[in-house]
Amino acid sequence: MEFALDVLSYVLVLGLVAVGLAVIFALLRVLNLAHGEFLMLGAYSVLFATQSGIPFWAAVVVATVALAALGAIVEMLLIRRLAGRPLDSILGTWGLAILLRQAVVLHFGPASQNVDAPTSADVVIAGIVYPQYRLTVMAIAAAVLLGTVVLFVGTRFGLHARAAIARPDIAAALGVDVRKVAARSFVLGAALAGLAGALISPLISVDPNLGLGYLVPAFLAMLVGGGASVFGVIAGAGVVGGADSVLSLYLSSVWAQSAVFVLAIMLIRLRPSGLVRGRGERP
Amino acid sequence: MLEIRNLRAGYGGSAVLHDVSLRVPTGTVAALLGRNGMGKSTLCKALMGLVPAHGSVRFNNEELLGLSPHAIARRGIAYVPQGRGIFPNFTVLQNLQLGLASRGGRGVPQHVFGMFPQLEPLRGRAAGTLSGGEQQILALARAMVAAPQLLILDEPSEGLAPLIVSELAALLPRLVSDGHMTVLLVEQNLELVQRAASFAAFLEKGAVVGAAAASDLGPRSAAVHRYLGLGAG
Repeated sequence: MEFALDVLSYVLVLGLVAVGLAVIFALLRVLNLAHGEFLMLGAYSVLFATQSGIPFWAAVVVATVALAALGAIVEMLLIRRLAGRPLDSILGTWGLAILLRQAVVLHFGPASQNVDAPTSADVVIAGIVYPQYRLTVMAIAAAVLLGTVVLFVGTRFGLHARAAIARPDIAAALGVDVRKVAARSFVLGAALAGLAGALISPLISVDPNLGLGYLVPAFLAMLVGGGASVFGVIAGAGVVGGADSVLSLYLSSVWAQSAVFVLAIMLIRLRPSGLVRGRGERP
Repeated sequence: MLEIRNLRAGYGGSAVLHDVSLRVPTGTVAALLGRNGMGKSTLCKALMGLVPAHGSVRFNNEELLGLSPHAIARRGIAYVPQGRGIFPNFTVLQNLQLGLASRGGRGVPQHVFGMFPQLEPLRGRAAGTLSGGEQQILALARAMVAAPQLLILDEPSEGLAPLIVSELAALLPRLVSDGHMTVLLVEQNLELVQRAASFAAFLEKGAVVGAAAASDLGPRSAAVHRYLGLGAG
């Protein structure tokens, strides 16, 4: 039971990261290799804010807003110029990732640091004693994922975004400002990664290389789930995160990650359009 | 008034339209006829800003060239592309709601269902499950949601049964009957053009090479024979 909750917690956080990555890729055709660094900066933002005396939950909000603002700046200065150029976007965002990591090393140092959780209390669920903070993280991540689904499925913005993903030319000819929708989606993706980093900061060691550990499984989750559907990406996060957690129980981390890769390749081979077909996809 | 002057457009380094000039008066259905590969669809895309173009495209005395596609749509210009461009996995209602993108508003105007009553019971159906004729009606209705001043139709009769084409031929003149709306009908279907348009221009090798009143476009007319290769001549 405790293990299942740990897995669910990881899957939900991975879902936040993967949804952001997938939305950016689907709308801009940009594989944002700096997405993991957005998560890392979310964690460092909380570290910096709490060290400055800001209460933890306020620091989480500050981190999310800060990453949204950083996302807006990065979109304006870099991503907008790379849209539709896959190779250039990989090089550009990889360069940005290095820049952000080194900036953090310069400011905070290379050593890992810790953030105190807002509470060390435990709660009892079905006879299991479980940290209250982890449950809170799960609840917030689930609520934000649900909100993201509602945003894309139930709002005018979501309709325009899904249309722009499926047929950007037709969406534009209908009056959808595809560039603005893409820019807003990039900001949303950065904010989600920042929130994920902020939430997990008390659960992990915060170090400059933190992002890479989430970028790779998020990318696999996007591929396995089908990047055109928010549901698909969440399902992909469930498969990749769940398999990674379960296999890590029995195998070394290297073998477990290798097995997850093999599983992902098999799933992509069997269902190339993803576990869940996007509502906006072409037939 | 739509006024196209010396329009040139293409893809990458290859030019498709070399010198297109055309005037379409407000309140008319004007047709553009031409064989396959003459640049008809490229012209539609150039008008909508979907391909790079040079020259001049003025609509209601405003230059459109250089504007982004969404900005062109927001100036009252609606486009039904070849192949309809509907979103097959969206419902009929969602497809119609996309038509509101250019004018704002939350609900699909009821008059659209009045104009296309066959769509009313299909609101919740996935657009991809509709018949070809219903999909064409949906594409047309989605364009009309925006209450456009100029409607560009790229080969709307393609793949449709003669009965549906006949309905389309009756509908288009009704759309412009109040004198506020203009239709540019890009077609190969001579019968539809004869019935729906007031005049037709001929596109050949990327340039407008002639024009004729629709009433003069019988299968034996010289223009039809010369530019479309139809009729006995």
